[in-house]
Amino acid sequence: MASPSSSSAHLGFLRHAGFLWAKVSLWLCASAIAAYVWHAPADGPNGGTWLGYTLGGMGAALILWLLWLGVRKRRYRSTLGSVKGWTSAHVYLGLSLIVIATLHCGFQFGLNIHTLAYVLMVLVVASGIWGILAYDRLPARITQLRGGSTREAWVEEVFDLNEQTIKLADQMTPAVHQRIVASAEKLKLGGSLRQQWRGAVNSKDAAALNTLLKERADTLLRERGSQTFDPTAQSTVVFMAGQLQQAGSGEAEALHVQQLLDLLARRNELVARINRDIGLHARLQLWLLFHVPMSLGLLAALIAHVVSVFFYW
Amino acid sequence: MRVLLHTIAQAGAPATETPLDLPTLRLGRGSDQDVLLADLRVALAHAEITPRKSLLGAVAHIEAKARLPLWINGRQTSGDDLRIGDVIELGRYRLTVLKARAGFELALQLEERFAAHDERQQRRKSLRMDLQQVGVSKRGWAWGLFLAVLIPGLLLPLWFAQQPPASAEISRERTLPSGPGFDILWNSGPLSSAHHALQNDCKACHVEPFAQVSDASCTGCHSELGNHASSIEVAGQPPFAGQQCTDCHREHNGLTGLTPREDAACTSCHADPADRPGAKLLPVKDFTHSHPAFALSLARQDGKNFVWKEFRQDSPEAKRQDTGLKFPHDLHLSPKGIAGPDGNAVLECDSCHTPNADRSGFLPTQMETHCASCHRLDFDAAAPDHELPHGKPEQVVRIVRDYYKALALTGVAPPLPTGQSTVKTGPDARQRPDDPRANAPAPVGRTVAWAEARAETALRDVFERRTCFYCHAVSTDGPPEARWQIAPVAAPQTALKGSAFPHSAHSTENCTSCHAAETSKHSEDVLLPDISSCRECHGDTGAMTETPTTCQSCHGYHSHPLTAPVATLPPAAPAP
Repeated sequence: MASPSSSSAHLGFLRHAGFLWAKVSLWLCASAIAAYVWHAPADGPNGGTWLGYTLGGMGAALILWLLWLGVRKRRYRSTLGSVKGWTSAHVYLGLSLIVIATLHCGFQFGLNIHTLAYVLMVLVVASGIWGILAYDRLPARITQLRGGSTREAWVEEVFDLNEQTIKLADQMTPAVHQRIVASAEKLKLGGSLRQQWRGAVNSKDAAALNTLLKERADTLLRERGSQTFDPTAQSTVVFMAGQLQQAGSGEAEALHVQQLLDLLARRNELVARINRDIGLHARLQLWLLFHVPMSLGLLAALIAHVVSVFFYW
Repeated sequence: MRVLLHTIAQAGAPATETPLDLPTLRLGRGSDQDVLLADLRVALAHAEITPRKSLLGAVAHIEAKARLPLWINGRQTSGDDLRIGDVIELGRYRLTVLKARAGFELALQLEERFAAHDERQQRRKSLRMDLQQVGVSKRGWAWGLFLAVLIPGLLLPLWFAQQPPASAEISRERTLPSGPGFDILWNSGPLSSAHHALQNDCKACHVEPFAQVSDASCTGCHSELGNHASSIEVAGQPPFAGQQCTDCHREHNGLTGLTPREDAACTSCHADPADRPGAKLLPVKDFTHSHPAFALSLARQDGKNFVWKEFRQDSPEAKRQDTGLKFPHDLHLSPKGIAGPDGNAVLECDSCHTPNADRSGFLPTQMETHCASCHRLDFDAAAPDHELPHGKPEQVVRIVRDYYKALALTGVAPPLPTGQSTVKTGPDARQRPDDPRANAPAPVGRTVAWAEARAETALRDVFERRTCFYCHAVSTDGPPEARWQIAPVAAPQTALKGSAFPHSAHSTENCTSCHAAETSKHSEDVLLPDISSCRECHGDTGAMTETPTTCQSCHGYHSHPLTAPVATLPPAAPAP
């Protein structure tokens, strides 16, 4: 499951204590399967035989203990084992629950609270497996993406670049200024769950802006030599800058456009990288948005299951 | 338009009021603007506020003049009428519309949302780059899902289960609910087909909360079930004492699941019954190898009565039983045929053995129905229509004597006695060819003495040589008023008491493939096939080629009638 490059750092809990909990879990499953095969109740395997009650009791105890990890991991002062050990046990015993619970119900399923509990348990375990896979794959990609830098540094740089572009754009036409300000305002870093998950991009806006700037640069280059001044089209500042650079206001603006394009390219690249980083982190945690709520749903279904089978014994 | 501008230079500082009277209030970064907003993100001429008349009176209308966004109350717009409380955001500036004092049409409060040097920190704070900031609360979802499962899955059914049931009666007269209740979610599996009507009525069986279903829930309807052990003594001891219906009958295991089919249900005791007190049982581990020879209940004559005794089929005693009849099967089933009223007839088994209504067995063979067409009960060849009643020797004696006395006196044969249960046969009913009566001389010189002698001859013939004697043992040592005594005949009984053999399930077989009737010369022969004959086709469950057969294919459980539950009987109660 774990690739050697990443498992050592992020999936160390899988190897905890020489796969102790993997062995315990395997032994548990093997014993349960052996008992199930050996046990041949007259009414067929089901939750109401003595083995059914035994496996059901084990399953319920396991579920409660596994839920306890949510409490235990917040108790930093606890000396009862390490969080790593608990996580290792959590993963392996959680996986064994599939076998225990399936044998407990004797493959009897229906449209009822009992099967709901089973389905929720399977979903919780499945989301847990998703979590393990995420921890196997994503940290390496995050490390690779960051290349020694940090997201905070990138964000600072994006802010710097935004300010520089606005300052630069302010020296150009109002149209360019408006676009640059709008672009800086619209900049998406993270955002909603979907935006974080997909890695928010403003590629359409960035592309449109680039096109605009490039066209402007082309126009300026073509107009070189035939400099006409239209006071309504240019701002006072540009007009003044143009006045100051008698050599050719078009060339000065073309230079600004080129600088602006460079700054924007750098900024957009950083934004994309930040969003990719956010996306990877979101995917590293997204499974928990399923795992934790469904665990509580499972707890409710488990309580309902146990109470109901003894209420109508 | 008279506008009062409240400017707050920095947070907490008092506002300075600037009254303005302009046709249009211009907002922007340009030095020519009425409200100067020094932020690079604000256009030189960003927006204008102009008075406008509307249905509600004069209002101030803001209009974007640049292509930059205009944010009012968090919404992007190109223009809108301003109302009191509206907030316009321009770069790091915020304009709030206040209630205008008398003499002013519009009051605006201008403040910086944050100082220029704080801006970046504010922006950084507003970024949502972590999954925990997206408003999806794990805790919220968790408790939401917890309740979403707990309320319909536990609380509603629990409330419903506390309601009084539609009917408190546990019997076949119980009123069933019209539809399912909330507790249908608790149904752990389909009920057996026999109990399917109770699908929506949990409380028909689950009477007490948190108490196992008791026998009372079963016996409310199933009131006439027998017990398993044949004697009270055994039934009152383990494993029967304290046994509950639900120990074997496990509901909610599917449509066919109520009765245990596995042999283990039986062999768990019967494989080694030695330690079961009071039971005289042979060990049975399986059908193929360890099932003992069948126990046959066979008739034995005891004086004038019959008693039925049990014999193992492999013992010599089980080869014969007392019937009180003479009946050679081989003669009747001869493939060459046997002389009948219509000439030679080849008889089949079903000529005499008629299946019962459900074809599981056969109706009793009766003289009148099955024998009389050949075995006529006439006594005088000259009067073949005069037949004797079957089964009443004293009547026979009287009828024969009366017949000849009447003949001697009147010379005419008397009419048949009315209401007499004689055997009716056709006019051409057969006479045995060797019957001497066919050539009997016509009576001459009829006297009482002649009649007596003639009757005596006929009676001897009927009882001692022919009519009765063909089938019955007749003794002549009775008292004078009942000289001839017919040996008693055993009423037919099923020999296999502990099992049910459905003939209908074996209708494709020939009778003679199991019953050796074609070679049986005596009615004493026991013609039941032994277990090896069954094993030719039947094997244990899991057999490779034989028909899988469980204990319950032949045996029932509640087979011994006990009138009261074991628990209520005193230990010394005699077996019924």
